[in-house]
Parts: sequence; C-alpha cells; structure tokens
Amino acid sequence: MDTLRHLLMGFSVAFQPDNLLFCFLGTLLGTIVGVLPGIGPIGTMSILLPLTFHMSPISSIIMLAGIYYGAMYGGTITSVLVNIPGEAASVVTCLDGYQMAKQGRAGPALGIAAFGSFIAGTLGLVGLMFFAEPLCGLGLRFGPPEYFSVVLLGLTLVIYLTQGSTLKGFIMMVLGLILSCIGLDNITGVPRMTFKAMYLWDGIDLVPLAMGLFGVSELIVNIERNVNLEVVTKKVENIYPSIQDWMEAKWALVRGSLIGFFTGILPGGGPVVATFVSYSVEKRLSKNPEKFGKGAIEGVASPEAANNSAVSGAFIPFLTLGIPPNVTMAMLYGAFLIHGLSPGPLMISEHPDVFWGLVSSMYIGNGMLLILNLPLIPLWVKILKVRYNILFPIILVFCIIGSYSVRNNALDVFVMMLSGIVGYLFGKFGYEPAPLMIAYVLGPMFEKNLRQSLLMSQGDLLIFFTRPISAVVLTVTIIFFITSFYFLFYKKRKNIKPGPV
Amino acid sequence: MKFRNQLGPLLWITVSGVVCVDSIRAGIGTFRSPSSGFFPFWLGVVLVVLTLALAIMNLFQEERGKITDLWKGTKWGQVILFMILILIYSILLNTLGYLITTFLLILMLFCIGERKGVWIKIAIAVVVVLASHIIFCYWLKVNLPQGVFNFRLSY
Repeated sequence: MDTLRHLLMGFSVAFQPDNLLFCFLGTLLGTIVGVLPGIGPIGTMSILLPLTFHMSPISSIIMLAGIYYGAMYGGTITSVLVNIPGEAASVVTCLDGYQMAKQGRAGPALGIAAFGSFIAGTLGLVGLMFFAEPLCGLGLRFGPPEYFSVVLLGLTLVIYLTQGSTLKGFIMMVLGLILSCIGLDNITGVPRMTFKAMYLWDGIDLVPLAMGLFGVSELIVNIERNVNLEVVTKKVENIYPSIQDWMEAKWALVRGSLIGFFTGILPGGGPVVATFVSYSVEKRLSKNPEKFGKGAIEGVASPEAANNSAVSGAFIPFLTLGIPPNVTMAMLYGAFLIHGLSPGPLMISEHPDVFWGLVSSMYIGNGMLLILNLPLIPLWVKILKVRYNILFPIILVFCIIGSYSVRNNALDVFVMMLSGIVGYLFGKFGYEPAPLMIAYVLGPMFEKNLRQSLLMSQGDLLIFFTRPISAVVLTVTIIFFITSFYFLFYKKRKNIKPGPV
Repeated sequence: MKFRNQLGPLLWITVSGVVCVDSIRAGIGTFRSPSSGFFPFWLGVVLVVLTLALAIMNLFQEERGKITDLWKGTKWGQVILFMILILIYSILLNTLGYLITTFLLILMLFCIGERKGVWIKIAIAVVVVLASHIIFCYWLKVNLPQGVFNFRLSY
C-alpha cells in the first residue's frame, strides 16, 4: 500500500509540465542518438550534463534517464534497417532483425521490438519499485569493508564480461583506478600525479574522458571504415505484429525481461551483456535453433526486452547502494552529485520525490516511446539517410561544446580529443575502454573504503572476511576472479562482442 | 620477438614506474595508517605484475605481424589527418576562439570525406557554427571561448 501511495506521489511529480516536457525531450533525444551510429547515450548525457546546471535536479535526472532508455529503443531501428547497431545494446538485434528486414518483414521486427521494449521496460520498473526499498535497508548495514567488497565484485565482473583478453581487461581496470587517483587526495589534500600542472589538481573530469573514449574514438573508427548507411527497405509496412508473431515471441519476451532485469542489477552488467545472454538462452531453448540468424522473431524480441529491463535493473544498485553498475549509470551518478543528490541507502527516505518521480517518469517515458516510435519510423529512416560525412563533424561539434562547458576550460577539449585518440588505439591493440571507465568512476569510492577499512582494523586485512556480507561478496568475487583466469589460460571465453557495459 | 607483441608491456611498465615513484613522493604510509600514496603505489605494483604476465604470455604467442597490419585496408590517411586536426583545434581553441577554429575544423572535416563543391562545404560549415553558437552561447548561456580577437556574434 505504501508503494502505491509513493508511486502516486511520484506521478504527481512526473506529471508537472516541466518534468513532462523534459521526459519527452529525453526520450526523443535518446531515440535519435540511438538511431544514429557514432553517438550513444554516454556521449549525449555528457554533452547535456553541463546544460542541466540551470534546471531543477528532478527535471535533469528525468531527462538524462530518458536518454538512456530512449537510446535502447532507437538503437533497434538502425540494427533492423541498416544492419549497423545504433547503440551497443542493439548489436544482437542485427542478427535476426536485419534478416527480417531483408525478407520484407522490417515492420513486424520494429513492431515487436517496440512493444517488447515497452512490456519489458514496464516489468523492469515494477521490479525496481519492489526491490529498491528492501535493498536500501540492506545498504544501511553496509560499512567500508562491505562497500569495498561490492565495488571489487563490480570491477571483477566487468573484467569477467569483457570480450577480449582478461589480462588486458585487468590492465585497463588498474589504469582506470590510477587515473581516478590523479588530483588532490580527498583525505589528506596531497597532490598526486599532478606533475606540477594546476589543471590536474581537480583530477581529470569524467565528461571529457568518457566523451573521448566512447564518442570521439567511435568517430575515428567510423572514418577509418568509411561508414555508409544503406537502408535495406524504402518503406516500412505492417508495423503491428500478427497474432502468430506474438505467439512465437511471447516467451522470448518474458525470458528476455527477466534475464535483462537481473543482469542489469549486477555490478558490471547492463543492457549490452543482457542482450547477449538473453539471445544465447533463447537460441538454446528454441525448438528451431537453426532459425536464429535467419530472421527469427524471437531473436529480436528477446534481446530488445532484455536491454530495456536491464536499464530498470541497473537503477537498483545505483539508487540503493550508490554504486553505478555501468558507464552510462556512472554518467548519471555524476549528474546526481552535480545536483547535490547522493544516491545510496538514504536516497529514498531523504529524497522520495526524486526517487519516485524518476520511477514514475520512466513509466510515462516508456509509454511516450511506444507512441513515438511506431508512427515516427519514416522520420527515423530519413535521418538514417543523412550521409555520415556530413553527420560526423556535427557530432564532433556537440562533443566539443559538451566537454568545454563543464568547466569552461579548453584543456578539457584537449583531454577529450586525446582520450579519443588513445581510445581508438586501445581498440586497435585489443584493450577495451569499458573496464577503465567503470574503474575510473568507482575508484574514489574503492580507495576511500579500503583506507577506512584498514584504519578500522588497524591494518588487518582479515576485516574483509570477518564481516558476513563482505565475506560472502568477496567469496563470490574470488570465484569470478579464478574462473576468469581459468578462461584466460584455457581460452574458452564466451563470444561476447565489445561495447560499453 | 616482435616489437608489436612487446609494445603494450613496455608502455605499462613505464606507467607503473611513474605511478610508483610519484606515490613514494606523496608518502605510502603503512597498512595500519595508509597515506596518500598507498593506493596508487599498490596499483603500480599490481600493474607491474600484470605487465610481466602479459609480456611472458606474448613471448609464447605466435607472431602477429607488423603494427602496420592493423591499418591494412583502412582509410588510415584520413584517420591520421583527423587526429592531427582535432589536436591542433584543441590547442588553438582558446587563442582563436570558438567561431573561427570550429569553422575551420568543420570545413576541413567536410573536405576529408565529401566531394561536393567548396562553396557548399563553406556554407554548411558556416550554418553549423552559427547555429551551434546561437543555441549554446545565447540560449543555453555556455561561455564559449572568444579568442584573442574577441570575436563573437552580437545581436
């Protein structure tokens, strides 16, 4: 009953005209960046983050969250019509979505993706509502050793789920932690790795780093490959799936929603991982696995459901424990902090309007996306026809303004460009930037809790094993750690494609 | 032993050396009382261990060809040009200001891929720069750099 009362309060916040407008803007922008390859939700959130300084905290959070789940919808359109994922979480959708489009079934593919996304997104939100409060209670029992262990688990999972070499993933994680140390030490105020440069005293800002590693580097990759977007079909018809389509996809939708939600909760998980897991599960359970990759509607429904429910799931560790489980949530974490809100166990009790307003806005946003997506498909097709050679300088201009406006410092633009070049070279040599980014965001929390734990225990490392929650989490971490190195030596890694987690 | 195989370990060992030296300067402290350099120092040590493991694994790995093979069949000339342009841009941004540098950057980027006439490229570049300046500078109140010429649009 309490949940219902809170939800109604949330809707009263979300239905305020300005919040409704920003929810609409967020979902619309999210869809557009999802449609356009080369710019994802991370880049867009980084660009818009400085522009939200003048907005109310709840409006800006609603808009940024809208971009995140809106991009999941938009990414599908490019995957189905062009066979290029507009967003990393739509890579799997290319496999069957594009085949359906080639067979003249682009409409049902986009239709089932949109309806599936709506259903899964809504189910995920129900899960978020019911899991968040109990987890907040658990979070209140967390001390520095517990936080240290959970963050370590998240970092280990990120390495475990990277596509390439485990060792290289590990190196990227350590590099991210090192980067997070640059600047004045939060506890003692001693400058670290600043090399007498005043610019580095505040550390490297998250926005230029993220935009460089994920935005600019992607632009360079696309220039190298000379991306040409060729839409497979000129006209998309019959966007409403038939009864037979629904019958074939119904269990895929349910399974995708569940897998996505629980994968989203895991630190290091997120929509990208969820889509790969749900697709492989669906293929394994299917009576006709040979249909997969040749235009099976389940192959579109399941990953699309998974990536949307994973977004809702990802909000759970973020809002209840204050631990962003993936890079996009890390950007949102930055937005919360900038607006004076600190996600964690006290979030729901101290800022119920923000929490419930956000949840309610996500219900509204999901509905908006369903209404937006289907009738506007011809418009998205037109956007896809804009040549990339014209598009990429414009995307770069947005990146420049986004990174500059955080601190009005041209050096941030330089850092972004440099990060872009470094990110591109990382990709060339098989190093994924996702573990670096996650480690960079979680680094300060990781260090603070490690140092506090050591001070509490007077240097005794056993403190991490004598406290029950920490001991359980660390045991799980060790298991993942050992198995990831088992894979390293026996090279039996699952075929998970790269992308920001 | 191929240079390409050992390029990564060489870089990471240098990074870890720099991190460890700086951490010692900042003060490591002890496990009982960790100081500012404690965390980065141990990260540097872990990086050394990982780098050694990577170097050893690379020794036993089959040769992967030359570094240049990574760019085989790609438009690497355009990539290098793009990298040079964006680095020069970020260096000149404060000096020349947003309007001039961004106009020049966009114009040159259009030249990388488009075969259309020069006037069309100039026109698109002008439109993009002016539109972005009006949206961000006037509507959204972002203080974009004006440069030494103090060049900005005014109504």
